[in-house]
This record gives sequence, C-alpha cells and structure tokens, in this order.
Amino acid sequence: MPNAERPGPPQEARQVDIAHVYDRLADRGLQYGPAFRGLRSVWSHGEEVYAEAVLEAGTLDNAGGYLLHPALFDAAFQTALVPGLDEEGKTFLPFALRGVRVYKAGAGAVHVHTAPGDNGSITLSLTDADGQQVATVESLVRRPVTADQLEAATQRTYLLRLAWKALPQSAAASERQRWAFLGTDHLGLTGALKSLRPSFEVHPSLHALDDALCAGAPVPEVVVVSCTDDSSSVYSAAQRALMLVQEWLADARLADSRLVLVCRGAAATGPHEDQPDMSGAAVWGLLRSAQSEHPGRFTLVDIDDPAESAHGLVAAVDSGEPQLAVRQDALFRPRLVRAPTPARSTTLTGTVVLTGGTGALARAVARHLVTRHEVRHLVLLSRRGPKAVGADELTAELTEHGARVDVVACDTADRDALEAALGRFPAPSAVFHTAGVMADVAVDTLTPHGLDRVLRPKADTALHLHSLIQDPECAFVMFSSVAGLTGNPGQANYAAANVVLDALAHHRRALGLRGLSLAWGLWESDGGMGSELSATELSRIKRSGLSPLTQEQGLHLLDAALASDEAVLSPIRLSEAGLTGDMPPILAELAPARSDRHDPADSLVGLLAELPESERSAAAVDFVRAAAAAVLGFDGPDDVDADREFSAVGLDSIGNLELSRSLAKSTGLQLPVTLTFDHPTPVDLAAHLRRLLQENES
Amino acid sequence: MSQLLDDVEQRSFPTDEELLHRVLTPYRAKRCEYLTSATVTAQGDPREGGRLAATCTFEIPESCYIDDTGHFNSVEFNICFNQMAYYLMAKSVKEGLADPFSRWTLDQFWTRQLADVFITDFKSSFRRAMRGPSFTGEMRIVDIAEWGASDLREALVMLRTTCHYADEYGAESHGEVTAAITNPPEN
Repeated sequence: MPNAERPGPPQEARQVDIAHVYDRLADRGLQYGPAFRGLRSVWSHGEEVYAEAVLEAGTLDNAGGYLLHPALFDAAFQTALVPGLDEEGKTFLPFALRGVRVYKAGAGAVHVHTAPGDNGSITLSLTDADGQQVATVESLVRRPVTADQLEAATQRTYLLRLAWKALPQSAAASERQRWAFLGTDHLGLTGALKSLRPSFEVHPSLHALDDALCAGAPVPEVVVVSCTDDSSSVYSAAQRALMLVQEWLADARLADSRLVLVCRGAAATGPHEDQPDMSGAAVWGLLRSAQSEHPGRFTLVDIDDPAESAHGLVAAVDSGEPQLAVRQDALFRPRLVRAPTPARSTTLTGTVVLTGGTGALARAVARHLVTRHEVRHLVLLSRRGPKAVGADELTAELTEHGARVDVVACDTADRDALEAALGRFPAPSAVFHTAGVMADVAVDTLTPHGLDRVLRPKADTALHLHSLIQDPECAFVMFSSVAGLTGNPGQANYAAANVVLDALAHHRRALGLRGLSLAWGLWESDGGMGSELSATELSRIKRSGLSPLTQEQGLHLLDAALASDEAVLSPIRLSEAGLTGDMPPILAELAPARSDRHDPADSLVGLLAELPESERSAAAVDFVRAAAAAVLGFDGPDDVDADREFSAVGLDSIGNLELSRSLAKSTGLQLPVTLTFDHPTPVDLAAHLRRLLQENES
Repeated sequence: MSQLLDDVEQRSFPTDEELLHRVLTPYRAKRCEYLTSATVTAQGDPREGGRLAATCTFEIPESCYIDDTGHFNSVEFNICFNQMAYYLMAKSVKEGLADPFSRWTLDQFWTRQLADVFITDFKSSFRRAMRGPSFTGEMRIVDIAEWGASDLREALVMLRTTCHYADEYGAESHGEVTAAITNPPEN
C-alpha cells in the first residue's frame, strides 16, 4: 500500500464554485442527476485539481456492496473535467482508463487529487479522511466531444435514408408451383412468365378468376398483378389496389395464395434513378401497411425492364421477401440506414410558402424559418386561413420578429385555387408542404372515401405544387412520414399518400428540380397530427422502435436535412428500448448489435498486397471508410468523407471502440482505443495503419 | 363526430306518397306492400359519420309466402328491409341527399332497383317476437363506398346499413346489412 497522502489542497489553491461546475457541465449537455452530484468542494491549483466527494445518503447505503461505488468514482472523474471547463466550445469526457487500483473497499467519501500525467493524460488519487489511499488511476485519457455529439448520443435522433441492399438469389422453388396472372398485362410480363412457369394461367379479371375457381380449377399459389391499371391516377391506382387487397383477404379460397403486385418506376434504388410512377408509389405505400397487417399475403416488386425481369420476378417471389426491386435481374430489398450528417448548413431567405400553414407542425417550422433562418416573408396556406385557431397570434408573433406574414384560406388540393393563391405573391424561394390529415382504419375496412380523404390534402396538393413550381432554384420540401416506409398498421391510406411524396422528390430531382421528402417519425406536438394518437397507438409506435421527436429535435433534424443532398430522408428518434420489438423489416439494418455488423472478410494486408504501390494509399482509405460506415450503420464507404473527422460523421465513443477492434482484426495490429482520436480522419487513420503495417513488415 | 354534426343542418322529408307508390310497384302483384310511411332524415355525409336514415311504419295483414306464423319472421324482416332501403335510396336520388345518389337520376335508379341491388351480408337478431300486424322500423346508411371500375372489377357501390324494428308492446329486432349496387350510373 502506498504511503498515506495528506488530504486537502495547498493553501494557494483557488476554490471553484460547485454550482458553477455542474451548471457549466449542464450547459454542454452533461446533466448529472442527484446521485451523481457528489462533489462537495473543488480547488484548482494550476493544472492540478483537489476535491472532496461524497455519496448521497440514499446511495451511501449501498456503498458497502462495491469496492468503489460508481457514483463516487464518477465524482472523481468530474474532478478531472474541471480544467478547461471555462474554455468555450469544448467539453471533455473520460475516455480511457489505465492502471486502476482500489486499496480500500466501501468508501463513502473521498478526497480527490488529479495531476497531469504522460501524453496529456491525468493521474487520479483518491484518499479517505485519514489520508489512507482508497484508489489510484495511473492514467485517465480525456477526449473532447461536441454538444451535437452529446445530443445525438442521448437523444437517439437520426437522419435515415433508404438504401436498396442486394439480396443473394436463393435456389428456385419448385416449378410445380401454380402461378397465375390477374388483370391487364400492360407491363408485358405474361409471355416470359409462361415460359418459366409450366403451370401458368391468365385471368383477365377477378370475375374470371372466380369463374375458374368455381369450375374446380386449383387455387394458384402465386398470383401476379400489375400495380396499376395503365395510366391510372394516384387515386384510381390506390383504390384498385385497396379493392384487390380486400378481395384477397375476404376470399377464404385465396388464404394460401400470395398476391404479387408488380410496378415499374415506383421505387428508386439509387440517387440517380427516377421514380416517375406516382400511382405505383401510392400502391407501394398502401401495400406496405397491408403487409404489416397481414404478413405473408402480399409481395411488392418493382422491375426495370419487363422483357428482362421474368427470372428476377420469379426469384423475388421465391425469396419470400415482402418488398423487392429487380434491377438487371438482380434483387434488392429496401433498408433504412443512417445518413451522414451534412458538413455544411443552409440558410433559407426570401418568400417561403407553407401548406397546412396554420397546423401545429407548420407553426413550429414558420417560427424556425423566421428566427433561425433569414426568411422575411411567409405565405401560410390552409383551408381556414385567417379563421384558423391561433392564426392571429402566430401572425403577430412572426411579425414581431420582422417577418411579413400572409395567411391565406385555400384548398390546396384544388389546383386552380392553389394556382390563384400562389399567383398573389412573389415567386417563393422555398415551399414546405406540411398539409395532411390522418384517418386510421384497418385495410380491410378502409373505403375509397377514407383513402381519398387522406390522399387529397397530401398527395394531390404535392402534385399540384410540383406542376406549379418549376423554378429549379426553389427548395421543395415535403413533409412525408416514416409510416410510408414502415407501413404502419391501420395507416394504409396515410402510407400511400406519403410514398407519393417520397417518389415525387426523386422525380423532381430527375427532372433537374429540387425535391426533398422528409419521412418524419412522430412529433410530440399540441394539436398536430400526432396528438390525435391514443396511448395504445403511441405504445405501438414505440414498440416498433420509434419515439416521438420533440419540437427542438425535429427542427434540428430539419436543418440537417435541408443541408443534405438526398431526395428522401427520414428524421426519426429511436425509442429508448431500441429496435427490439415488433419491428418492420425495413428497420432491420438498424437493429443488430453494431459489433456484429462489420466483420471484414478481407484483411487490409491481403488487399494491399494485391495492388501496385500507387493504388495502395487510396485503397487503405476506402478500407477505413468502409469499416467506419459499417460501424455507423451507413450504407457504404461513400457516406464517410475521407477528410472529415470521425466525430463529425457521428462516431461516438462506443463506435470508436468498435472501429478500433474491427481494424485491429483486419490488420492483425495491436491498436489503442484512442486510435480514432489520435488519427481523426479516414485519410489520417489509413496512413497511420499503412505505416504500422510497413513497420511490422520490416 | 356527433359534435361536428351539431353544426350541420338536419333535413327531414315526410312520406313522399308518389315515390313510395313507385318504389313498391314490384311488390304490388305479390300483395306484399308492407311499407306504409317513411320519413327520411339527412344530416351531413354518411361517409364522414353523418346521418342518412328512414323512420318507417309497416303493416303486414298476412304473410305473402307462408300461412300465419303468428310472429314477425326473418323473411319478413328481409322484405321490410328491402322496401326501406329502396325508398331511402330513391329519396336520396330525388333530393340529392348523398353521393353517389345525388349524381343519379330517378330513371337510372328505377332501371337498377331490382337487377343491380344485392344484399351481400345480412345479420338479423330477434330479442322479443313481434306479433301484431303493425310496427315501426328504422334504417340507417352507416357508410357508402363507391368503387370505381378497373380492369379487375366493374364499378360497385357498397352500402353498410343498420336497421331496427319495434312494436308498441316492446318487441324488438335489429340487424346489420351490407348491400352492393352493381352497374352504377357513370355520371
């Protein structure tokens, strides 16, 4: 046991106000609860800190069960955070510990002394009131975190984007499986399918199928139908699909028959792919909900070239996956992945139009645009216009902030009315389409009117705005919902409407216009759409892995999304329990333990050995980017900029550990846990790894 | 929804004798014109929780298909429902009370009354048998689903309804009936 150290600071030490310490830490996002506010007095002496820390009475009762109670140990770490507390912009957190020794168990109060150690580390000494050593820490490494990182880590808010992941094709199912095609084949699929499926019937209508079954024909195990009647409107296509779903669910003879709805251009599997089929997109949304309500009954497939897609279509059905895209005969399934945080920010100015302009969501956005952006003219369109509850107060508030506000009564789903309303004002620099209504009902009782009621304000308005706003500079932001991607049960109409918005964002970008659809998770709001949800519905949403966003979180994500270059982003907050419940498959990539996700099959050594020297540097950088992307839950290396710091793209301390471990495994090197702090960008880290590998070799 | 309806005007239409006569024409030869009066009330859109209903009186002097059973049976329940439903639809067409009927003409309705209106689901329950020849009935259209035509199926209108019968002696029966109208006019 080391010699007893006399507790207490030297006389010339400066006392630091405890309240100030916890206030400063709270300012930076570190909120300590009562049990963890153990510091009683702190003295600063140059780079050394002296402190007295105790366990709260309630916590003290349990202290005997620990060698050193975590709350008391944490108080000692807090002491180490005191130097630099008053410096702007930086918060340090304990990152790595080395040489921890406990000499005396069950302490309830300690004197702490921290002093600078080697290489920027800190040593800690904990003694009791008699000067007897309680514990020592040979080296504590601190690392800076930003407020944004802390926010992301504690709030679990993310921008997600849809990535289409290749699916290996499995062995084909029995050719004896009976297939049928139902309805008009305007995509031209039947010819090729007939040649692949020996048992293949064509039924031009439901009536014809019914006739065949009544005449004793065997029930087909797979029935393929085109998503849309040729050139049908969004509403007609969605209604046709709804009718088909209801017929399928109501007819007991079809209980073991899988209905496969095939579209072309209703899904965009990459950023440069167009998604022109708005009607097919509505069908995708509607069917996603139907799939959630009735798993295993329906399959959605989007194809590229009908003449070349028959093999892919058969493989898609054989795979058992509920939603697939076939591209050049290969299969891809949709998965939400984390999108990188944009490096830049965007400030909106000029005239901005908001639909649903007096709703709870639009009010929050309007305030944000005036107070945080530089928007000086808002046009708020809503059905009731100035007569909407709270419209006057909102106008007064925004005007006080220096903005001109025009609240206009307009049924935005009426194209002529919308055109007339827009014509009264200067061309907008941005439009935010936030209008929407919900009318939840199970898909088997949803009526055409229930569908139209929800499609009209959301999808019709979006399509009218698209036709009226063709200025390539005008930001075109649509508030969609993650319900369209996850296919929330009971929301087939809402999902249909939202996927139209997502498709429109892709389509506009393909046309050279701006388009962003934000598939929001639920917002906590008063009077907004989320407020209509019952406790049961909220609980169901939480079980699916999502939690409501606070207004502040939502607006923070909005700014991040505005600065991005994506067509569709899903700003969401994951529930505290995480993705462990009844999770839709589209969220599956976010769920698994992150350490399981990246297990590089290739070693970096092997990879570099196969390349000429001139290509090794870039290959090493790509290798690091891929490893980081896997840890972050990103789709691939392209989402990790080579020159951006890992911390800026969202790698937290656990992520750093995982990346270090992953790279250690793939290089065979012993790598410290501080690896990404010492080499903060992929370029730095790749260069460092190459140096280490070369040293190893020599 | 009822709160919203408070602001919507309720319209009431007493028995339209001429219309009733026309509605019951197919029953005349079979001597089973049971419906004697019908007051129609309309408030809002049934698709949005609004009310479209007929409050009726009936008289069954003798059964049209069986010797006297001594009580109101399920066949008579069904015939009375049909007569209420035909009248309520016809009145909705004539007065333009709800879509899609407001877009139809009466001639279009008469040509479809028998051939194109089908009961697809029928539930009736009898709590206490009605024994007298006179009683009251009420029918309400709970929802209207107007399905457009596509390659897969012809256009179709589905009506979800409830009905209720009672007499002055406390007897009661009620039901839930879904009806389909095929070949609806395209206007």
